[in-house]
Amino acid sequence: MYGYAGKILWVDLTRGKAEGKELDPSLARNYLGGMGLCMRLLYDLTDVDTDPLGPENVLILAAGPVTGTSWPGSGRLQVAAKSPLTGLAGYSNSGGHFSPYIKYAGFDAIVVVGRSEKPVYLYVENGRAEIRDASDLWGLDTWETEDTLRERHGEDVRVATIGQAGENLVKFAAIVTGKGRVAARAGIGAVMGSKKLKAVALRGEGGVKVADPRGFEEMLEEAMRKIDESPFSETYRDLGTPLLVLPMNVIGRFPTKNHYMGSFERAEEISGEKVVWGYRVAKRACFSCRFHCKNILKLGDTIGDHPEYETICALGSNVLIDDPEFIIRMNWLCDRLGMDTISLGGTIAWAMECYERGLLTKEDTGGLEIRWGDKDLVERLVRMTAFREGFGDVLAEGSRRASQIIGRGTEKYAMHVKGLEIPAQDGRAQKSMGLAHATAARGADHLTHSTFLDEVGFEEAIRERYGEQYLPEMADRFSPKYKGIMAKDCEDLAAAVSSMVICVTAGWLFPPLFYWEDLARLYTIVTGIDVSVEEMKRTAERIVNIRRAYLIKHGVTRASDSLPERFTKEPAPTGGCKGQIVELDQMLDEYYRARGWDVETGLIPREKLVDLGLEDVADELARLGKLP
Amino acid sequence: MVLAVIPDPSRCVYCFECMLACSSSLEGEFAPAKARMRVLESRAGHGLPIVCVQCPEHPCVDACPTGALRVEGGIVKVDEASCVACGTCASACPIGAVRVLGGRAVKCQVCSEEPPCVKICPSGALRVVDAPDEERERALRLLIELTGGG
Repeated sequence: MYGYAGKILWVDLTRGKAEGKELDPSLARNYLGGMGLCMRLLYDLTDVDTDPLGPENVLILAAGPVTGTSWPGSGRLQVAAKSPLTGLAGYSNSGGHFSPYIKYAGFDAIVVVGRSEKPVYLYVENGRAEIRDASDLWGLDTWETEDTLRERHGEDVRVATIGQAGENLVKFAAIVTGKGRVAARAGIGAVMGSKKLKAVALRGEGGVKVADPRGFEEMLEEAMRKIDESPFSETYRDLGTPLLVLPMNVIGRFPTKNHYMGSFERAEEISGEKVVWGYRVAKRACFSCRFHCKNILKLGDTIGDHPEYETICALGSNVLIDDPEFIIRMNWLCDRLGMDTISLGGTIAWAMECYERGLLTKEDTGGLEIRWGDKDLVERLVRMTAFREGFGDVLAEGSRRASQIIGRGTEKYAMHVKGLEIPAQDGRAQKSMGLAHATAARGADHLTHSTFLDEVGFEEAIRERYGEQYLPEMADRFSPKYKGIMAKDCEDLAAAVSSMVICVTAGWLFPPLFYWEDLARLYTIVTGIDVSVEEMKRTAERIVNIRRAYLIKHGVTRASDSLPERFTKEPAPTGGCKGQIVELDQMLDEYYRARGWDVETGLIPREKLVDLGLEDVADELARLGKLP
Repeated sequence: MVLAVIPDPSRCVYCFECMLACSSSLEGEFAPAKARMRVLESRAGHGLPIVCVQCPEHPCVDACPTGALRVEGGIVKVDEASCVACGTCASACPIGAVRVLGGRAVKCQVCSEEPPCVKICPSGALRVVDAPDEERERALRLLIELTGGG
């Protein structure tokens, strides 16, 4: 096989066995790799009665056919499991340098089932895998674990590990690679912790061959030119995602005070320019990336990755903190402990709002006053959450469960969808993001759909991709019109790109440089499997639909595709989107229609599933009475 | 003057594109472990590309017991037929720019005047230069210092 390594490494921690098995070629063709492979395996290997933290859950770390080549942004890792935070399909994606080494070590993906009695780590070297004792690593943070394993196995070993948060089954624990590139969302790190799997270390000295090297080189040269000439590359290369702070604040899309508003009056203090330029010592790229959007910062004696835009919001504006050094330090602390800053910050913001409203008291918090903007408090809460100490044990459950534990109307202030905290967009300022948050399979998320086309109004890309008839509404961030159509296509493209596995913000969903024709061509050149644009689009739809079918099995319907009332009923009080709400129902109707799903229920009709080659899924949903 | 690939580590973004371009060109596959250069992490936070700068002393050539390493136009080249893969050259190189791979010593032999590694580098961390002895010597000393070796 070209592109693919041709093998999956199956690890059963209960039996203590690890063995490589051939990758089924039809699985490769129908689901590509990465996201697609993860969603098919998750559907097949887990069920409604699977306990996310039980040995029966599955943990998948997947590369894809393009991973390990020199295609820009193709170094990404896709992970998946049934999420302990949402109880639904959990998936997360990280950059860094880990994923290509799965391929170089001889595999396309690592699938872990069962649970070890004692802490272990998986050591994979050139086609062989060993389950090793990790007693000495248990209790270490992710930086210490990475250093220890690279000292033990060599500097060229790549490590993915959990921190103490994963060990303590914090529901939004992350998997951290290379100390700062994090598969953070949906609590996959807690699944890893529940299996007593501390880390995976890879030594890979093999390679990836593409079917048509000359075609690849030609396409790569065109791509490099496009990237280098894009007007977005320069600022993106300089600041990375922190560049978004100021422009998003202007348009009212920078969540502030538990998403009460989308503008932070002290945003200047924590702008990308302040955070990055003030502390930068080096530029940094993920594996094989031409955008190199990361920066290495130095504070005191410590150097580490910059906080992303999301973290600057989650541990900054959304909890009313305006101190860049504090945010940089907390980002590193969360990376070390192994926690998703978005869910953590969102849960702390929930507690702050509830405390201010008198719904949460010192009796609940063990005497702590949970006040907005209190840095010492936030630092304490970060540690208490990771170690599940005191009130941290409640916060470690995430905002939905925490609000259910406390009750008393605090549920209203938990800013989540399907149990996953809302990231750093305000749907009132960009309507497509409201739709994305409501419908993303892993819960409130911006990346599943990656609807960036109306963020700054990519009119030209909209004209090229969809046609003149959708302008100006589709490019207008305030208009709910045509956002369902755009969201459907962006979600399909993001699913396929995440199956390759390529970074969605390396020229696919942002900036919009490459599209379906490029994806089909790239897949064909890499694998030698001749795939048309139509087949590629259908494959993407298959991946999105099996992911939705998994949710439907678990009881998700149109009613679950919702937003907190703050977004649908409370007009934005200030800033660049003052007076706006999210017109969710209108967008949902259009989205379901574009998807061919039932508009009333959000369920998938049998014909749609059959058309995508998912007869087996249609039969199962029929048995469960979950067809429209 | 000798043609050499000279790294500027302060500009290296640790993307590994050079290793991918190199291995693809010379070995027919994307395989960083088979590239003629390595990229390490520097303590200062940037990447650290290690590649033979064709230093004027070439201790690797002096160390080779079979005469497989020779200097041609200032560039150290490996004669695969006489190389016995003993690794003496690799130990002699102060920056580890010569390695044994697949039964022979490998190193950067400056494959062309426009090498793929230089062409693909997105940050200008690799240059190919017709450089005098002093410049290559300086490049070597910098890499020795940054790798903490000597």
